[in-house]
Parts: sequence; structure tokens; C-alpha cells
Amino acid sequence: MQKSLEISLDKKLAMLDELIDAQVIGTNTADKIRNFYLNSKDSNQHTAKRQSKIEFSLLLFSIFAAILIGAGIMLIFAHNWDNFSPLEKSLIAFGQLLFAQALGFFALFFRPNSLIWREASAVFWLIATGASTALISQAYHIQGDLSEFLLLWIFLALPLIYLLKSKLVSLGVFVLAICFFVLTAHLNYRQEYQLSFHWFWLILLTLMPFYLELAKKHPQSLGLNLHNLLVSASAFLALAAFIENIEVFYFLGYFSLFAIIYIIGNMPLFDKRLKNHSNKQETSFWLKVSLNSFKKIAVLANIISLFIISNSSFWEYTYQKNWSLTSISKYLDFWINIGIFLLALLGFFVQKKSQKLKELSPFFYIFILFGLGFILFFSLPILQEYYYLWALFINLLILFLSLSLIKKAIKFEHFANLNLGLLLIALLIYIRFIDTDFSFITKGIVFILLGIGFLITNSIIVKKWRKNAK
Amino acid sequence: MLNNSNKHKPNSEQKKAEKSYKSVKISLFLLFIFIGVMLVQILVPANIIFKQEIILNQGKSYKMKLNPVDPVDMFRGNYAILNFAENKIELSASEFLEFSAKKYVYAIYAQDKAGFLKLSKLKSSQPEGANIFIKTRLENIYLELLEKCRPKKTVAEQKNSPSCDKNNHKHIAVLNYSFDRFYLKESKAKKIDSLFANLNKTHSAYALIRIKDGLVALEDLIIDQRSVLEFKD
Repeated sequence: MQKSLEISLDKKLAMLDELIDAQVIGTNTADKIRNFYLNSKDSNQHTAKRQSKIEFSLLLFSIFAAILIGAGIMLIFAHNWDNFSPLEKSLIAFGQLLFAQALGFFALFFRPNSLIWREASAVFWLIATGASTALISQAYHIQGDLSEFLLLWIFLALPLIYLLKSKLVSLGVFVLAICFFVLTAHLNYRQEYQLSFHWFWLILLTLMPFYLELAKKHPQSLGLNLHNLLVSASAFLALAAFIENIEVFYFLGYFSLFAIIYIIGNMPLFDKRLKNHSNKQETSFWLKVSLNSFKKIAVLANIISLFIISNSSFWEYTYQKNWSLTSISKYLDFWINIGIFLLALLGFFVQKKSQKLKELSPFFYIFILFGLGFILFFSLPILQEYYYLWALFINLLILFLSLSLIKKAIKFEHFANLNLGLLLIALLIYIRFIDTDFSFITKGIVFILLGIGFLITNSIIVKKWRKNAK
Repeated sequence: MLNNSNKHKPNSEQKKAEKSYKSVKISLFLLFIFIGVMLVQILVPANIIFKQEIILNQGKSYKMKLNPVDPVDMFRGNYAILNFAENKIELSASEFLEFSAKKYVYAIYAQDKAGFLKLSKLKSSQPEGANIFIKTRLENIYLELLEKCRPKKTVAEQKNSPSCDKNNHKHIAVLNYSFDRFYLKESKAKKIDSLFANLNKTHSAYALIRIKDGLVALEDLIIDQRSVLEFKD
């Protein structure tokens, strides 16, 4: 309501000109009014907003420029100048690194307060460290190992994060570390795999102080939310590294991990920005999307995993393995998952104390339900024979979760949640439909009906909300 | 008393001086770290260069025969992949046990009349004496069924085949040389690709390498007695 009455500063000044033209006020009065507006708090906010917008786009462009120039230099060197000797080629590669270091030096000591200088030079420096090593290996025809190269690159670039306080380099190193881990993990050599796992932990550990500082100082930034995404991805990968004998049982560990991520998202460090931004109108689109990304990641991960185990073939596979609780408790995998489950359970009780249960998302409870169900499933072999009933139960669970999402969305007038709920129901119908042998015409008609259902539900609910607003 | 109160309430000039002293201290600290980072970033690649230059300058030159192939790698520019002819060796049963858990081995070579290296033996520790040897990665180690023991196509053949109950396998080790890429101008890569495809039929190729203390530097790629560096685009 308030917004409709507000008039932007530009409009106010334009109206002033109109009033002068119509000779309603004199030029003297007009100047006074103009001065008043320009010096008011409103205008200060306006210019500050505008400036930060300009700065953000400048930052974006300068980073793109740094990436493009860095990549361009790398490609030119990659051309293989055959008339140079290896030593001459490597010296040129060094020149690029020295240039990047000089830029970093300038940013650090002559432009320490400019975000643009710091981030752009840091990104260029990050690329230059990797490029110089790669180009020197190329000059001497050293093939090397890609994972070893990545590891070297990561450790050469790690200090840049703390030296220039660069969020982008931190993100870059995160991505490199994940690449390194995936690359070495797929080799399947048990020994190397474990070694790479240790390196991965070490890298994550060295990144943590920067990440926590970021969470404290810039709780609303896009940078933090991208970090959150990579931190969660690293956690998922780290758990996958343990999989050895009973892969199915890891769903218990994963659902518990999602709950833990949800709890972390609920911690005051990550949750306070939600309360600061209760004013809906002020939040921009990006902010809304990125607000408390941990909770969103947890919900999304839960949904994807539920869909995976909603297929009856998952339960059939588990049934055919003929596992019982005593046979799987011999493996280390079992105890790892139980440990994570207990940790999540502990978190749950702490949450329960501090928060009303109704405030928690229904997705938060999945791990308890699943944990009890799984233990029951493995302890009573008779239940395993009716594996399709378990799949049916998971499907009903997804349906229930979607409905509760929609119900909550209608109550709190939350447009995104409403459509997420509808989308889940549609997806469930779609996936279960693929399993069956209906003709294309039947399938087509069902999809059209689903689409129409979407439109109608949305329009009815929006109308209702508008009525309430009046 | 007077001194004490002065200490607790410094005047504005003192404050300023303290502040500037602090900032100088911080920037000195930063400078120190900056120089450290810079040096490490330079020394690590410089170490690679130094090692390679020593091998190129002090190592002995040898020839290694090549077999065909040549894919393209998008990540680090174009190169010719070198498929060395001498990368497989038959082991004895005891050697097979010895090397099965090894990641790196020392490959020992002899030189034939034309000067090409021939793989003669594997060792798990660094050999002494005047041997030509390379420290290299062991890619694979496996049992290969002997030709006479492979399943026969016809029943008649099956009946006539000798019994293969014992000693029916060869023990094979495959080496993975780390110097198996030769980086080249993109325009040359295509031409060399076509030459490589007909290798051993009408063309011959070998790599010129230098070895020092078991470490190798790739010096040149020779096709039909000409260095690829002299090829026209």
C-alpha cells in the first residue's frame, strides 16, 4: 500500500519543472524545493542505491573482462610457437604470472578499498597461476596427471583468497577442489582414492575461516549463497566417498545429512538475514531466491532423493540383496550412516527445544520417518517381500508433502511454494505415468489436463489473495 | 600520576601517529605475505623448468620407436600422442608377485644395432652400474592365457589341443610413460596425424629422449628421419 503513494525523486523533480512552467511557483521557491529534495534522506538513499547498482555492474564487467583476457592469453600461448625453445616459452609463461602478480600488488597496496580492483585482479591471478604451470608443462612436453595439476593449482591459489579477500577465488578453488575429488574418486584405486580424500578435507578446512567470515560479514550476499551451494555439494561428495558395501543404506545417511544442512540453515548465523528482510517489498528478486540457501538446498535434495526411491525397482533391488540388520551391521558403512542419523537426531531435539514444531518445514522430518522405516525394513525380512508397498508409501509421502506445501503456501500467500507443490504433484504423476504402458494419446491428454490444472489453480488462488488484500 | 593520565588519554596527534604506525605495520605484514606467495608461485614452476633443463643438457640422448595414434586434447592445446612400441614385458612368476603392488618401477633397456631402446627387465629399486634405465609408472599387470591354451573354435581342435592345466598363463606388465605427449603447432598436428595413420607401412617414427638418473625429457619427434619442428605448416 505504501509503495503506491511513493513518488520517485526523478518524478518529483519533473513535477517541479511542470509547476514552474505553469507559473504556480516562482523559480526561487522551486530552487528551494529542489534543494530540499536533493538533500533529503530519501535522495541520499536513492543515490546510494544507484551507486551500488553501478558498482555491481562494473564489478561484473571487470570480472568478465579478467576471465576473458586471462583465457585469451592462455589460448595464445597454447598455440605452440615452435620457433621458441622450451626455456623461452616458459619465460613467456612466467611473464604472464608476473603481470598478474603486479596487478595484485597494485590492487592490494594502492586500491585496497576497491572491491572491483581486488576481485578482478584476483580472478586474473587465479587463472595466471594455473596457466603458467600448464604452459610450462606443455613447453617441456610433460603430460602429468590432471588431478596432480589441479592439486598444485589449488595450493598455489589458496593464499590469494586470504591475501586479496576474494570471494570469487574462493568459489573458484571450491570448484577446483570438487573437480579434483571427482576426478580422483572415479579412478577407483582404493589407495589413491583415500589419499585424494585427505587432500580434499585439507582444502575444505583451509577454506573454512574465509567462509565463516563471509557468513558473518555479508550474510545477504550472492557470494555467500553460492558458497553455501558448494559447501553442501562438498558434503554430499564427502559422504559418497565412504560408499563401499551397502550402497542402498546410504539413503539413510543422505536424508540425515539433508536434515543437518537444514539445521545449519536454521542457525542464527544463517537465519538472521531472513528476519532483517521481513519487508517483502524491499527485497530484490535475487535476494529472495538466495535467502537462506541452505534450507532450499536441503528441501531440493530431499525431493530429488525421494523421487529416486519412489521407484519400486529400488526396493526390489534391496529385497533381492537379501540383507538383514545383522548381516549389514558387520560393515563400516552401516555405522557411518547410523552415526550421521544420530547426529541429525541430536540436532532435531535441539531444534525442538528452541522452535515450535509447526514452524519447521515438513521436509525436515523425512529423515526420522525414513530412518525408522529403513531399520524396520532390514530387521523384518517378511516386510521386504512386499517391496512394492514401500514404494507406494514413498509415493504417498511425496503426495502428502506436496499437499502440505500447497496448504501452507495458500495460508501465507507464498507464490513460489504454491507452484513448487503443484510441480511436485505433476512430476509425480508424470514419472509414474512413464512406468506404465498407456498410449501416447492418453499420456498427451493427461499432460494437457495437468497444464490446465496448473493455470486454473494459480488463477483461483491469486484471485482469492487479491480479495483478501482488499 | 601525570604520566599515567597522559598514557590513558593520548591527544589527537598521538592517536594519529599510533594509527598510521598501525597501518604501516599492517601493510608491512601484507607485503611480507605477498612476497612469500609470489616467491612460492614462481619457485614451484621454476623447479619444473630447472629439472627439465638439467636432463636436456646433461642427459644422454636415445631413440624410442613409436606405434600409430593421435587424438586431440582441448585443454592444453594440440599434441601428438606417442604410443611407444616398447611398453610391454613378460615377467617371471616371482617378478609378477614382486611388482603386483608397485606403482612405480625401474625399466632397464638395451640398445639394438640401429640405436633404438629395447625393454629388457623391470626392477623395483634403482639399478646401479652403467644401465640405461627409466623410472616409470606401472599401468597394469595381468595374466595372459597362452596361445595354445585359448578356447578352440571347433570340437576337433579342442580334442587335439594339449592339456593346459598348469603354467597356462604368461605374466605381463604394461608401462605408462609420463612423456607420451608431444605438443605442436595446431596446423602441423593434422599433417602428422595422417603420417601417423600410415606408420610402419610407408613411414617410420621415433622419439628422441634424454635420460639422466632415470628421469626423462622429451626432446624431439622424428618422422621419416626429419624433426617435426622442421615441418612446414
